[in-house]
Amino acid sequence: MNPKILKVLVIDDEEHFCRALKKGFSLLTTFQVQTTTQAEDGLQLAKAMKPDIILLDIMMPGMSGPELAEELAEDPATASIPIIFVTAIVKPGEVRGSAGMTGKRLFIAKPVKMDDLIKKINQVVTKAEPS
Amino acid sequence: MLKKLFFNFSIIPGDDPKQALRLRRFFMAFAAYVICAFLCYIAYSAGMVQREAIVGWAIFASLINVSMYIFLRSGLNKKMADPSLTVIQMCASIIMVMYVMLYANESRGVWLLIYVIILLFGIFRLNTRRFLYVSFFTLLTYGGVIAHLHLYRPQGVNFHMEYLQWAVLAGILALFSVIGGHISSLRANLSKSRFTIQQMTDNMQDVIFVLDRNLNYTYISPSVEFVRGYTPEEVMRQSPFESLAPSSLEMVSHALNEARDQRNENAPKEISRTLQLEIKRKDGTTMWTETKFTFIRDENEHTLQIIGVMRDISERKAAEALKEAMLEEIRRAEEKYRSVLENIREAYFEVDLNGNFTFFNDSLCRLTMYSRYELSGANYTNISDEETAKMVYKTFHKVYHTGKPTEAFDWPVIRKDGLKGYVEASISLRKDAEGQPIGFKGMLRDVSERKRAEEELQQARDKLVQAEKLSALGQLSIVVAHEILNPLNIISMELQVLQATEGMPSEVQEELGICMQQIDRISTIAEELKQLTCSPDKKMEWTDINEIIERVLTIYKLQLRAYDIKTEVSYEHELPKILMDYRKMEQVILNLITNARDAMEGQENKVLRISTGWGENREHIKIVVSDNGPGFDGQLAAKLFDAFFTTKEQGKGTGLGLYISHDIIRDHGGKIWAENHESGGASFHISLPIKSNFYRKC
Repeated sequence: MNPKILKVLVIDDEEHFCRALKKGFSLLTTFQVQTTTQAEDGLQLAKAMKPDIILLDIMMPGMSGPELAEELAEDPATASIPIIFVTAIVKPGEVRGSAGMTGKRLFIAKPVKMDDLIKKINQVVTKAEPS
Repeated sequence: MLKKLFFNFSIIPGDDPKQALRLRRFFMAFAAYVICAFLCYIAYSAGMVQREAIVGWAIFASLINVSMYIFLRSGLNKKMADPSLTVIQMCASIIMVMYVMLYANESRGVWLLIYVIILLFGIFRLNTRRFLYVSFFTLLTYGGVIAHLHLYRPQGVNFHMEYLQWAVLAGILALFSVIGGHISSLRANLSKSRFTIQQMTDNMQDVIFVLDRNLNYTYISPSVEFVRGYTPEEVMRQSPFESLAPSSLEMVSHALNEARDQRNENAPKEISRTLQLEIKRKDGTTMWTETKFTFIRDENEHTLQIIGVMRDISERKAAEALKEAMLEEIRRAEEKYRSVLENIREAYFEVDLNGNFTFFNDSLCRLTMYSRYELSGANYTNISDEETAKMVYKTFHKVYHTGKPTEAFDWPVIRKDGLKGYVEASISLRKDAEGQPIGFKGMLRDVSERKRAEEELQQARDKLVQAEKLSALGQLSIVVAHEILNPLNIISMELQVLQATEGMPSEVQEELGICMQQIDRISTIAEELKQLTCSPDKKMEWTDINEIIERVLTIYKLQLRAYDIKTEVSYEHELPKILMDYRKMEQVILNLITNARDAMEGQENKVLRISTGWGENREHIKIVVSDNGPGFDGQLAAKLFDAFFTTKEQGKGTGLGLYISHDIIRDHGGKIWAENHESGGASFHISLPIKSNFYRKC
């Protein structure tokens, strides 16, 4: 098995968070990380980059996380990409339903622990990988 | 013509009773003359009197009588001081006698008796003095006769006898004068008292009548004309029973029969009855009288006559009837008053100055739950606790001193079952006829219902406030969560980055570790804060959206009214129920209403419209909440639902209301959006799928 270099797309309206996350990933992993603070840009990036996983903030101005997830689900190019929701609002153990969250409803709560996040990403991606 | 005069002529006139009387007396005197003439003829036949004397006498007598009759009948006598002409008649007669005596020879003495007869007539009219004058005249004439005899025919005359006769005559005449005068004055007195009685009966207002034993009138006082309209003469012609109205007839016959048969040992001669009789008047009306019948009886208790006194009691009767009518009115008013008191729901009571109940209606019993018997001896303090009793006492005190009734005040009455009955009371002063205070009276209205409604409303308001607080708190928690956790997150990330950085000395790592711990602490606290937003009991139920809207509106009704907001609602009935978290849905509706309220602030005419109906393809339910505020800038339509987006001034609103509402609707699988509608205000549309398989856990 080739350690595929995972492509991670981070969409969160907090710029500092994106930057710190990127730094953290670079120190601890070999992930290829792209970030954006604009949901619409995130949509375009997802189509272009075809990440292995998307980290999506829930509470964002304009289009919210779940809405963006819905959009992604509707577009066949992006429909299969797994999403982890990153949110300040939801406790682990809660499920927040939305039209766009069929199937993979995963989330992680802020403040984020890098180790947990990395573990989770690996889990998700492994599951998703066709084998 | 003469014939007519002759037939209309009556010897004694019928119209003037006094004249008639005088003429009757004249005729009596005339009869005496006739007898006298007869005696003269006998004397002449016996040879005691000369023919000339008799003839002369006859002529004289006729002359005198005829002229006297004419004088009387023509009425000329009325002009004289003494209309009955007694003295003149007497003197004329005396002269006649004197003439006879001149020619009477031996029988002269006999004719002296005639003088006496003449003087008898004087008894009717002459007083003692006049009598003496006439006597004097008589003696003079007789003396004249004696003198004449002395002078012209002294032969054969026994003058001693004549002197004796004259002296005796003088004595008799004197005596007669005295007696006659006395009798005359008696008669005058009698006449006077009869006159007085007549005056009395004429002027009396009561009618006096007398009936004989056969019940015919023998006397009616003139007052009958005034009372009944008939003159006494008319009444005398009637039978007494004719005067009675049919209602009284029976009473009278009964009384008469009863009186007639009555045996009364104590007063056999006189018994009386007083009856109230209805009497007919001449003009056809009837009137009420009080008539007293007195039966005058002889020793054998046979009625001799009946004396009646009739008094007009029409006024009295009318006054009595009026009094009866007034009493009846009072009775009816009392009845009405009592029935009103008993039928009203309010409790009415009266207390004396010590506060003891003296009067009360059934409603008081109902209100206090005590029986009538129990309340009868009770005091107002028995139905009040200590504090209330003090307050009520103060109120009584105020009423007593100002004399003015109180305005309505609240009185928590302690009922028999121990519970408080809420009552609105008003009290006023009771005074006696002189205006002295004798106690208090009051009315109590049960307002427990109202109180309960007020309490419920207060509870609902409190709930609303709490809901709002919760909502605010929820919003706050979210603020906390977002605004704090995000920076916290970044700090945490940075710390982790530092921790991962190579070449970090162990002391530094240690410090970083401590920092990370603190971050954990903070995030725990934030977590706990977040707990507050979630209500522990979550309800996912099949609910009718109309009911939810209705419920929110009910709780919020007073607020809306306070803000002068008119609400127009239109529900689509028979919408299917949807599985929803109804508390969250209420929150959404409340949020929309609150926004509408804020949008319309400052407007004169505020209208809030809410409608429900079918949505797309009848697979959705639509709810629209709109206001007639200024609307919003079209370009911001999407941004409205952003977190922390608000068009309100700083401090008003967190900008999270719509965000959360948006969230909740989305959780239910629905959509929410805003539009400006034609009339200018904003309208928020919610569309909820009927088949929803999404839910939110808290």
